[in-house]
Amino acid sequence: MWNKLSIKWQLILFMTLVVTLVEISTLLIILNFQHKDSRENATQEVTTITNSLKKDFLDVIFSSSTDKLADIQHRLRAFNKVNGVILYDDANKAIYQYGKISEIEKHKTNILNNKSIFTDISLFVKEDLDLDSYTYGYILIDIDLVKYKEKQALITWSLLSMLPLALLLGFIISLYLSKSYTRPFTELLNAMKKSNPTKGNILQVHTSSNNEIKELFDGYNDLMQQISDSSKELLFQAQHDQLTGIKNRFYIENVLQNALKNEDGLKFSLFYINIDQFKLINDSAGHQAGDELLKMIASAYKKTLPDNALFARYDGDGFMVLLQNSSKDEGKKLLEESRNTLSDFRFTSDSQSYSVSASMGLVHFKAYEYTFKELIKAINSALYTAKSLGHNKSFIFNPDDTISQRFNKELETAGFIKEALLDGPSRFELFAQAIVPLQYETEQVSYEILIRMWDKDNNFIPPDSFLPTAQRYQRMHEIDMWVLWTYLDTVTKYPEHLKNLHSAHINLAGSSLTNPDFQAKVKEAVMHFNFPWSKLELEVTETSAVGNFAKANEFIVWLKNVGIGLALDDFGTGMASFEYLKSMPFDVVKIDGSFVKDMHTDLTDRAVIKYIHEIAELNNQETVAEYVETQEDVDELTKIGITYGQGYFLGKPKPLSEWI
Amino acid sequence: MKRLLLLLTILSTLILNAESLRISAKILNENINNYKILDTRDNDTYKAGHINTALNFPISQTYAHMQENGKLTDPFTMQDIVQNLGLDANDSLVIYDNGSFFDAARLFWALEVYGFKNVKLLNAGYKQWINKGYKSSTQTPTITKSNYITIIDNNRLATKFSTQVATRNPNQIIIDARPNKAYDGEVSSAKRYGHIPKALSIPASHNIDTSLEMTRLKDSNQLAEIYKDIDKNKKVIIYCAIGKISATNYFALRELGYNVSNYDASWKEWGNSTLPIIQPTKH
Repeated sequence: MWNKLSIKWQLILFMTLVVTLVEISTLLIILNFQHKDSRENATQEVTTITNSLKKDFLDVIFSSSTDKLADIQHRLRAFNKVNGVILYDDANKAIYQYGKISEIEKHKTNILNNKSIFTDISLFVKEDLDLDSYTYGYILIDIDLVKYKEKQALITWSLLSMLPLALLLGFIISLYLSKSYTRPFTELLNAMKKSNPTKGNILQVHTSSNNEIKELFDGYNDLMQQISDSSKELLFQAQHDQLTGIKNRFYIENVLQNALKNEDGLKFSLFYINIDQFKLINDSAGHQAGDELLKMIASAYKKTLPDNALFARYDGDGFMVLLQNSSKDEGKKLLEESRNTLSDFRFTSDSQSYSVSASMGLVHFKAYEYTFKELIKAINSALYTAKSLGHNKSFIFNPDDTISQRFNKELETAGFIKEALLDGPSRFELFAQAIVPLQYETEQVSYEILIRMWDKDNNFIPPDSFLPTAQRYQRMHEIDMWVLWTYLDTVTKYPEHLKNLHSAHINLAGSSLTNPDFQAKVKEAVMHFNFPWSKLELEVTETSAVGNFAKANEFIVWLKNVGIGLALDDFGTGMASFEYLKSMPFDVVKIDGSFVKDMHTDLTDRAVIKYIHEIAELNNQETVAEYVETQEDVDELTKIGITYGQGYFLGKPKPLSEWI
Repeated sequence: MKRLLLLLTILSTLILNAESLRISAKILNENINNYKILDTRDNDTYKAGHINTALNFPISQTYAHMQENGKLTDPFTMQDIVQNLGLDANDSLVIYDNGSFFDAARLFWALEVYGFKNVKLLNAGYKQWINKGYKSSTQTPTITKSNYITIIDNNRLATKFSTQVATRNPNQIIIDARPNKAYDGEVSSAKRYGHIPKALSIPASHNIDTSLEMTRLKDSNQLAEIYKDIDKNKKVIIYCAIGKISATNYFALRELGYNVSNYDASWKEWGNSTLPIIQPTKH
């Protein structure tokens, strides 16, 4: 209870208590003095009266007369505190009375026994009238104490009437004290409430005192300053990217969220810029070089941005720019300028020179047009659309755009892929399509393993829909790992099947070949599974083989040593020359279906097939023709000398389980 | 008009006062049990017949030295007398005498000096009581002795000292109740002749009505006329030759509402002392 009271009220109550105690004790002391004093005075009075009248009383005892008594009465009247007197002679006989004697008579025995007694209103005394040590009589006298009592009452009342005054004084003093002594606390409290050091708002406190209060105040000011300084630093760190020094993802996301809630109807342009082939530079020149590149690009690009543009690093090699209050034209203009700026950024590391470019997406938006999630999805979609168009391309997101929609869909698909790689509910399933020898008959089987995907609602998602997505989301090596592992895990349980197997083709993305995780996984599989490795052919497309093979050289050598073969997929579609067939270690060349499809009408296509076959034969490589759909195709290809045929005519893809 | 009203008020007060100190035979008879009645006549006369329930307080007992002067009985004697009559200072008393009021007035004064507060005179003599046919008796009532202790009311008793005070105090009046000759210094009951300084002469004989079959104190209306020039707000001291007859003047003034005291030693003391006097004859 007491602890809950403010200091002010504690002081006031305390002072009130002290004042009251002092007042009451003063009153008691004074009353006690007064009481004693009045008794002494009364006793004194009796002595005075008896001394002054003793002779007259004795005279009366010896010989009374009316005149003497009249005289005595006259003199007794002078003592106005005398209520009454009774005079007794030596025979104990009352011989004279004065004034009111009823009280004396009431207390007579008591007075005679005690010589003097005090009652509330009177002092009664028995005074002997003696002369030369003989007592001739005595008087009983009643002295009025009412006047003393009245005096006492007067003192009591004056002191009591002073009590409110004293209390008031005490109250005023406590108010003053509490004000002057609690002021530092209230000031401090006020400053504390109003200050927000983490936002840099500090209300400094000042005092003219030079004591603990000053120390407290100084301490408080220092503390607040420290909090403010470290908060600023923390805030800076929290809002800035450590590498490039520009704003970070946390900060721009915050700004974006606020922009989406902006009530002023402002228009915004959000750019998402991604450095093309950053991963390539990072991998070949090293992370330090990659970091250096990011720093240089950020610094150089920042200079070209208008002042009101917010520039932040969003992810590893992605940057965002937010133009506030900008029209679509302004946005487009900046997009074009940025694309030019970042079209040919020269970067040198370890005396190797790189030309770096960037792709960028742009979203125009207003508050409440998107949720934050939708906005991020849109800008991602815009960037990936741009990326899919090639290097140093830009794309402006349009919610109605089919491409954009496709990329929205792609985002969804990426989600399914992630699920399928884990525990579902989307799932992959392995199929296999027959690869049939055209030049000889055999009991043994060959097939190409194909992947199929179903989403959570069991809708089939075609490979040409989810594989590019997987590629863009850099999930290809994981899919490849999954396919390889699942295939091996399945078929190694059936040794008969393996015995009857001629060759199994499994597709690989070019990026998987260079992926360390993938490489490790393959090595693990070789250790783990008992599989005739020479029957495994890894198919790599022409486009992805270019560039990756050089880097994966070591791995390819290892594959060859284990006996795993390599097949060049879709040959003829890319820009690859026949030179590749010669320089790269392929065992099988798969001729792209587009040539097969038209070979009966287009002689050029038939000639290409023929040449590929001849060159492959020269290189001691087998050939597979895709898209074999009729008996005529089979006859023609057999005639050309193609080793294997693959297509709907020779066998549609069917679940792997049906092959076993 | 205002003055007239004031006068009327004063007069009516006087009459009321007068009535309050004298009680009629009829009223006493009706309320006889509320009063103790004192008969001032001598014991033989008392025994021959007195108002029923009356006690005997012979007037001689009020004198210390009846033959010499009017001095009051000394306190020791008086205390015994009063105790033996069973009287208390607060008792309501009615005094009567043979009808002259002289003795009754003397006892009235004596009792007032000794502290009695409710004393009245019967406005009739014993004879008139008998004539009216009220009850009388020859029996002395049984008396229980009282515890009376002497009280002296010095407002009712003037001494040489208080009289001296009065000679100098302009707020006090001294009345000489002796005959004019004594006042004028032609005769004296003391060695010296004349009167106390400042004293006015209102002889006691002026209070007496001699027109009736028996001399007696005048009615209060008549008395008021005599003392009309005396200021009511001033204290009055009255004296005579030896202090005997001034008691009549004392009662008269008391009845009229004056604050009066009787100098019982009177001229006999003052005239024989060395205190200042006025001696008109010498002029």
